Amino acid sequence: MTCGNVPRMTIPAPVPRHFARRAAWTATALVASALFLFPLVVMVLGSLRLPGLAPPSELELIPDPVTLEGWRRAFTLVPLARSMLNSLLVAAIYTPVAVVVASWAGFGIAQLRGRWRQLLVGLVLVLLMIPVTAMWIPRFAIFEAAGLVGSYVPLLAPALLGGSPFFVLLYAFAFRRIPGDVLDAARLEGAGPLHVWRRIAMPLVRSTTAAVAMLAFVQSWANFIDPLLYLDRESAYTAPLMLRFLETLGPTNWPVLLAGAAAVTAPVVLLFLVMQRFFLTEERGIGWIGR
Amino acid sequence: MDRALIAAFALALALAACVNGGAAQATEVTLSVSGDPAEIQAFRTLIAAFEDREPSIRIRLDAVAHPGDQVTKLAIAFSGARPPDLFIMNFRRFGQFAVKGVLEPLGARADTSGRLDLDDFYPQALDAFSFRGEQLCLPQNISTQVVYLNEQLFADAGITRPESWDWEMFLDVARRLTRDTDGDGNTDVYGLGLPPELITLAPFVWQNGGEVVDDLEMPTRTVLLDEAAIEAMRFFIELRRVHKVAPSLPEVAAEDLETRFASGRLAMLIESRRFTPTLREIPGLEWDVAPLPQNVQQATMLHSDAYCMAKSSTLKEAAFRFVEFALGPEGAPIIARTGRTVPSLRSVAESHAFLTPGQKPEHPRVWLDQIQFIHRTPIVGTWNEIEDRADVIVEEWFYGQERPEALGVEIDIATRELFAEPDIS
Repeated sequence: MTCGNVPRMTIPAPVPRHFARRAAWTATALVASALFLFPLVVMVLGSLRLPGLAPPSELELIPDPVTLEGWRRAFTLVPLARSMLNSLLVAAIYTPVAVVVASWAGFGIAQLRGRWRQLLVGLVLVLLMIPVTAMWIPRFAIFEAAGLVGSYVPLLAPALLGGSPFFVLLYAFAFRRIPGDVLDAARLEGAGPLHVWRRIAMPLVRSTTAAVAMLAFVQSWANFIDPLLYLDRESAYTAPLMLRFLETLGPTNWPVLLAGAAAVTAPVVLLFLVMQRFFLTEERGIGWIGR
Repeated sequence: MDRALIAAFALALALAACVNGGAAQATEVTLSVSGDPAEIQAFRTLIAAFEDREPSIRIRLDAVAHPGDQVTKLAIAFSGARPPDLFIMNFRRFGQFAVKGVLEPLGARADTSGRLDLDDFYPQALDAFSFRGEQLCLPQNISTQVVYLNEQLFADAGITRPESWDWEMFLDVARRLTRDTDGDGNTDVYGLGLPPELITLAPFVWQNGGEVVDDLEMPTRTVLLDEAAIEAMRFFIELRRVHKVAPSLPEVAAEDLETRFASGRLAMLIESRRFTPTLREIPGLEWDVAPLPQNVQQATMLHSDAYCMAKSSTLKEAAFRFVEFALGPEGAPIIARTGRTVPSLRSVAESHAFLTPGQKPEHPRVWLDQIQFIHRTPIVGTWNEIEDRADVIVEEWFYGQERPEALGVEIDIATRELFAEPDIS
């Protein structure tokens, strides 16, 4: 057999190439990470500067003195903790509802054939192009007629439509990658559409679900305009509205704004850290990144 | 999963009901305001004092941070037939509500009120909120643009605070304060910071005897076209382009004017009263205020906010009781003590609540002395958009290369159609 010689002849060459490629990839990833991390680091370090001082003339990485006074003021000047809890409550309902509805819609589109599917995908794309501002007044009038202005329902309602046409498209493309035989086999065994969606399709697009859940959470968490338009009592305000108050404090209080911004960013970063293992799993070939 | 979904919907409805719970009390008046946390806190104090006095009326405070956000919210709320009973609005933004006829005139109510004395209000502030012969809103404050100055930088240059000055002296002081402190060829301290906007340019035009619009009551266009206006605009623009006493566009982009002043790298800044609380916080910063310079006459720009009431409010009596209290001898000092505004009532403006002896600035009377020289912009529904379009052009001219004579023409071309938009009333 020649296989004993082959490794000796071929292995030495690929290893350095492989190593170089890996090193280049790692270096690129590190640079990209640093680019994205730098603003976060500046935000956190800036929040540790003493409020009330004139702002530094140059980039000051390590404040002198280091203090948590900015954090204290961010949580006492405005009810930031309460507003974050409100945001968390809204996002905790919004995210799963958006995921379920978007996946239903995406699954339905993926199951269609030919022109019907093209038509619906086209419709979703058209919906994506409608300016959000064009819907402000009609939406407000509808919720006012329903007596729901002042409640969280207008903030949650988009989740009943899947959160965003983009989420529906993500799911539609993900479900399209599932071989038709898999779903047909389940149907032949008598499984209904909900059963197929829940037991067969959803487990195969876990990465997409992670991505949509993450995006839906951020969409709800960072939503500024709906709370501004629909909420009319301070006790119900969400975190973005409170950050806006800290923004008005002026240049001497940037540490307070940065502390508030860091506090409001933290849940999103934590969620990303928890969810990233779903993005990086080997099943991504079936999911949103694609094969 | 199905059960979880149903549970999520149920929770959403429960939460919605929870937030709405107890909202619709018969005498709960909604008040919409904008401001920083200290101002909002002052409103909470004001409301608490009012509710102590009038236990049968509750005030729901709907506070947002930025005036622009408040206008967006109000515009949508009026369109959706659910405006707040009361709101506080700047006079430059109030036109869009006035022309639509959605405001309840408060002048007649004030006339018959036993608690308000219209004669105590500065007439300039009342005038800014009257529209087509009716006093629609009642002013809460009246501020003007002044020159904030860094006393240490003035002392270093051997200059004393001017009680009054003309353009020539103003420019000379700005030149002497503009310095390259480390000798590297770059300017480290600029003499003057002035936001290149229409409302900062306008006082210079008025000081030179020019006008901004053709008719203050029924404007049809801007008229920054005559010799007086052109000379004023040239002076304004050359402060940056020729004399280099103001920072360049990249320098302002890197560090805004307020930050420069707060950190001692800008000797003078043209701003309204709103900058005062920020400066009071900075330890060691020595600062004061001076009037705007004059040329053929003295002139400054009005800044004023007022209580306005929605015509569709069903709680007008209760809402006006709050206005009476807020603008009366008990309520007005509460807001005045924030230091951010100049009271619209003479009696409060002349009191310690505003003059705050022992606190900076040393010469708060500058604001009161300038009230007699106040000019204002017209009340038209599109004034916000007119300013937005004009500001872009003023900035382009201030930092760019275009001929100063063409600035007025450009503003006229860009804004004339907005004056022609019909009122909806």
